[in-house]
Parts: sequence; C-alpha cells; structure tokens
Amino acid sequence: MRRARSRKFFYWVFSAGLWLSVVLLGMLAGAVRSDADRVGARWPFAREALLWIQDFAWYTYPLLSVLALLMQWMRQEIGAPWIWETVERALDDFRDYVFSAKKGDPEHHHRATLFKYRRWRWCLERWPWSGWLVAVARSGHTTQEQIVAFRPYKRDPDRAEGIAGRAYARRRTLLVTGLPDLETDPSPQAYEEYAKSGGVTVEWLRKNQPKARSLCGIPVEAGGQPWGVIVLDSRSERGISRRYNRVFDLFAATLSKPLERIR
Amino acid sequence: MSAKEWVRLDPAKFGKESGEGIQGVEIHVFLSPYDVPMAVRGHFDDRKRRFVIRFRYIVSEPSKSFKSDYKYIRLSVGKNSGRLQAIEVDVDALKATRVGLRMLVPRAVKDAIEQLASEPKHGPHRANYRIAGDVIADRQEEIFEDLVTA
Repeated sequence: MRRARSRKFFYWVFSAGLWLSVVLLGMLAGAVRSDADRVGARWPFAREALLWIQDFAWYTYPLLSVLALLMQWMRQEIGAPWIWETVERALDDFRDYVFSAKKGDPEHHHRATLFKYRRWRWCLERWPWSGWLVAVARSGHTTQEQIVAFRPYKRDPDRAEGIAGRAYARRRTLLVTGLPDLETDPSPQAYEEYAKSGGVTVEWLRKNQPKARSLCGIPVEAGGQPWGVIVLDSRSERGISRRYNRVFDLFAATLSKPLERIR
Repeated sequence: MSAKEWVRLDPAKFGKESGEGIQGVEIHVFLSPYDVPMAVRGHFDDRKRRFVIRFRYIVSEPSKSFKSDYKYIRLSVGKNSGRLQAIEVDVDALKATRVGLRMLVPRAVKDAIEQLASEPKHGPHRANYRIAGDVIADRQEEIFEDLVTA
C-alpha cells in the first residue's frame, strides 16, 4: 500500500513538472518573439522582465526542453496509477481464480506477484547493475512488503536465481510442486532438495526461510519483448495445478497490453 | 475445414516441453505462452499471387518481412519478438504443376523454417520456429488445401 501511495505521489509530481515545463516553454517562446519596447510602452513594468527573459532564453530553452523530456521519462518509468490499479486488481482476481479451492486459507498463503526486469536497483549488493527481477505488484493488501529480488542472469540462464529468474531467463513457464516443508523438516536434505528445485542456494533459504511449497513462474512480455515474470506461490504442497496452464497463458497475455505503457 | 479460415490450435499439444518428478517434487516446463500460436491459416493470396501461411499468437505485434535463403520464400517475423508470423511462397516462380506444388511447397516451407532456426542470431526464437514447423506438419492437409486453386 505504501508503494502504491508513493508511486501515485511521484507520478503526480512528475506530471506537474511536465506540465509546468511545457507551459514555461510556451511562455518563453512568446516572450522571445515579443518587442520589449512596444510592450513596455503599454506596461512599463513588463519591459524589464521581458528583456531579462530574452537575455536568458539561450539556455532556458534547452534546459526546459530537457526537463520536460526527463519528466516524461520518469512518468513512463513509474507508470500511470490507473495502470497499476488495473494490474493489482488483475493479480487479485488471478490469485482468487487459481486458488479458488483454497478459499478458507489466509490470503497470504497463496499469492501472485509481478516482477519487473530492471538493469539496476538501489541495493547494498556487489553488482547492483547486473540485472534484477524486482517485485512491483502483489495480490492482497497484507503481503506487499519485504519482497526479495532475483537475478535472472540473462546471458547465463543456468545461474538464474529462483523460479522468477529461471522463467525469465529461459522464457518458459515453470511449475514446481511438492517442495519440502522447511518448518517441519529442517534437515540438510530437505534444504538441498528445495534449493535444487527452487533455483536458490541453501544459504538463501536459511536467510529467507520460504514457506511456499508450490511455485510457478510465468514469463510476461510487453511489445514483443521480455518485461518480467508473474510468480504464483502457495503454502500447499500441490497448491498450483498444471491444468490451469491455459489460464496462466491468457493472464500473462492480458497483462501485456497495459504493461507496454510502463518502461 | 478449409484453411482459408483460421485453424484453431490446441496450445497444450504444442506448448508442453517436459515434466519430471524427483522425490515428491514435480517440475513441469511449458513453452512461453507467447511462443505458441493459437491459430494457423494457409491461403492463396490472389493479389500477391502467393501462397501465404499465417500464424496468430496470443498477442499481436507489427511484423517485418525478409527474403529467405530459399529463393521463392519470404518470411515475416515479429518486429520485436522475432516470432514467425507468416510464410509467403511465390508459387508462380516455382513453375510446377498442381500436383507438384503439393509436393514442393510443404518441403520448401519446412526447409525455410529449419534454415531460419539454424541461424545463430535467431537462437532465442528457436522454440517458436520448432513449434511453427510442428504445427505445419500436424495440420498439413488443412493448411495446404488451398494450393490446388493456385
């Protein structure tokens, strides 16, 4: 929820910045073409202001143009709030449909998360620019915080991290069910098995202690190019059925169009 | 059903890649939903004087076309995705009888797809080209039905 609020706030700030830059550019164009002496004859106070604007036009023009482009770029980077609302609503519906048999379970036991590929992210890691899959939306309201990021290693898919990284790097839908329950069985074998099937290291498992026992990664494209991954996770051993594969496909395709508008 | 109309395909038939179970853990791999065509259509385009095979995908996109290494064939692929969108065969240039066309064209199309898949720059799209070839082989009768009118 906090993410949605800050996204809205910054989108509004950059939209306001864009409009202001455009309006100022228009006013500047008008001021440059004006005859300061003629205007000054009618409104003496405007003459000095016009001359001052005309003096600085040589650099305010390009500056405002660059500012407008930057604002527009940032708006696209963040994505319009209505797109995110649509995506989040779709994730909720998708989750409800796929896990309809588990209606009695708490919401956070079965989730759908959308990860976006980013070339870099703010983090205290050795290679923050090595390409990351960052969670950008998740079903439900109670499970939005503390979502980890994965490295897809596009050039070396064998090293891809997690189901998200593997699905993205290999451009395949991956479904893993029957993962060990690490809470009831913390044996080294269980950790090894989970790590091997889930595409993570034992160290990562010990640090993050995942509770999911079924995972599914579905690649998402926008404009014909890889955009990210949808990951379904369930605490149920066979919580995700492969008979929903067609639903996964249709959902990924439905998201493609709105996601084209987010860089 | 005539392939002048779209022939709907079963994505489950072409999209499943592998499945395995190890000590209770089951892993299933499916091809990307964007790589599997939903429908295919083969028809003779009177205006272009070409036999055209088109694939329809779950998401549409603009395409770019180029001449294949096979003289009489033009291929269209997705502008961004590189997926095979259409295959055009210049049947007039083939100068074959109708019976000959039914033999020559499917062979030439198959070879053109294999050639496309073998090019290193098309590596990421190999799965899509393989499926396209499988689809044509599987629905050959319907796709090439219109060749007799050429």
